[in-house]
Amino acid sequence: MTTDSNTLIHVNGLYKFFGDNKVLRGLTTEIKRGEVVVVLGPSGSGKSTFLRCLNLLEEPTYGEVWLEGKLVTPVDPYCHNDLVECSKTFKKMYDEREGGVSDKEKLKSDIIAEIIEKDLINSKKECGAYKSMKKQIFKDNAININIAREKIGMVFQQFNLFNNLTILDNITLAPRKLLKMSRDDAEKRAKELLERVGLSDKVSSYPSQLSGGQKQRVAIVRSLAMNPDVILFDEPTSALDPEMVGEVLDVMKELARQGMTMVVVTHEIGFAREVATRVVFIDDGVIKEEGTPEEFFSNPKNPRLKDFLSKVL
Amino acid sequence: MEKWLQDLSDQFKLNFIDGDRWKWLLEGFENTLIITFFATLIGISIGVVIAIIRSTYAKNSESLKKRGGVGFYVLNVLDKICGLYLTVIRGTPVVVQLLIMYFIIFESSNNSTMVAVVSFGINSGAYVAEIFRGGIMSVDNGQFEAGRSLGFNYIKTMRYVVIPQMFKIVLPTLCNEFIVLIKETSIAGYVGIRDLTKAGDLIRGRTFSAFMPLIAVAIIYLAVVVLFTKLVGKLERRLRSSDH
Ligand SMILES: Nc1ncnc2c1ncn2[C@@H]1O[C@H](COP(=O)(O)OP(=O)(O)O)[C@@H](O)[C@H]1O
Ligand SMILES: [Mg+2]
Repeated sequence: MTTDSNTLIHVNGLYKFFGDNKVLRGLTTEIKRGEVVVVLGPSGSGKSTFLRCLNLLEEPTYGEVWLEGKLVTPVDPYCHNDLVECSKTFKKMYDEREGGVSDKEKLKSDIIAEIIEKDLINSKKECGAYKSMKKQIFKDNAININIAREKIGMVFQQFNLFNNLTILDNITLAPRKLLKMSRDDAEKRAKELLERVGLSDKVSSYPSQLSGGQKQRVAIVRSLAMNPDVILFDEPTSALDPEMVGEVLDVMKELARQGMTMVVVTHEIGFAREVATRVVFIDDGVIKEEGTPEEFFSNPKNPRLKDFLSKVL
Repeated sequence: MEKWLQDLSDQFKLNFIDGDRWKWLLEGFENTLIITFFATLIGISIGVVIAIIRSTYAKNSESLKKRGGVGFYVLNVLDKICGLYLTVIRGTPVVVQLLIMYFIIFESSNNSTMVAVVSFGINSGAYVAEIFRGGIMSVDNGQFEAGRSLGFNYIKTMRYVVIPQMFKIVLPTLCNEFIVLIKETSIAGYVGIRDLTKAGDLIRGRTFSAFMPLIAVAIIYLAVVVLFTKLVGKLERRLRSSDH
């Protein structure tokens, strides 16, 4: 995959089906270092599914996700024309149609397009050359999913703090067990981070003793403690009482100011206007429109987006 | 009235004091507790393993199958074995299992207490497995996803996040399993073990009076069960009030 070093996440032709429900239908985008991407879209349009495919909490049906030039998902043959060209399916179709065609290159690309369009490759029945090439692509590029997840933080609508652990242990568990930090170092760092979000006095509390806003700030700290390269936020303020929304958004704004790469699904238009470097509108399982907040909000083109904005603004 | 009291005290003396027969009851009670305790340990160990295999299969089989490789087949076979175990153990009477253990599987062993421990342990494991599986399933999936999204693999997520919460949820039920098992071991006499029930029965055989020894045995079981039920109740209240 050709990506410049500024690209943190590359999403290529992402499809996700739940049975007959085709939630994502070929979503492609790039997330660059330092970007704050706000994702908007009607309820049920697949915003959560999109985020959850980025760290493989959901397995995409088709498509690939790349993190810093490393392949997070399994290899999707339809993302690699050379791999399709190597398949038995392609060779058979090519041999059948080649006769009398002068523009061989056009024929090739037409066949590849048809194979992708109609999902004609059956991996199990393909030839050895195809299989070994696919394996090679995987071997050359794949990153272990658990390593990838260490670099991709996630903050959930329902906080999902570990109920059985204190706030301090919630934050230090992963750095200690995964980054092999010493307890002292991990606790020192956790306390620094808690101080930054104004929760120093909660170190030995349990999640059940915190308000929603406090829980969400702890959840953000928990993911920060792993020093992720990007944090995904799935409606981080939607489960909060209105008076607590501000304290969480403030923490997120501060993060953005410090240059953290963020992908944020939210309905907080004010946050999008103020902080986003790019706003993305997902509908029908694809990105229907995207742009800087100024152009996105002042001059929306897609009729569905206009309709959507008229409801939320 | 006086005659009745006199009768009672004679009976008491005959059944418990003469020949130190109260010691039989004590030894029997000891055996009952030993068998129950170790059988519970075995049951919990088997139960944890089976619950983890079954819930791992339920959660990961689809993605493993899609990915290919041997992982799916290994897990599939393990899951089938666990299913078979659960069906057989829960589908046959525990007395029959005990007799089969004693007269067929451990035919050459003369340590009948050990045979009883293993037999009741294996039996209990089937029920404990279901308790644990229910416990694992009742831990909110968000806890699991939070663990995975931090980079913990499946096993570590289970170990650090899900299993500790599962234990808290199932602890009261687990204690009830212990109470059930105490009563269930009363059939150990079938294979010649002098547990509490057998001890009472031996006294009856010796003194030819059934009332005293059997009522005494019943009272001891009842006392233990009531005591443990009280403790479990307390534990449950404590767990609920702490809620973390
Ligand atoms: N695990 C799942 N199983 C089946 N359907 C799902 C699952 N998760 C999401 N969906 C469906 O996918 C669609 C998009 O869901 P979601 O991504 O949560 O939307 P959004 O976050 O934009 O509201 C919905 O129709 C939802 O019912
Ligand atoms: Mg959602």
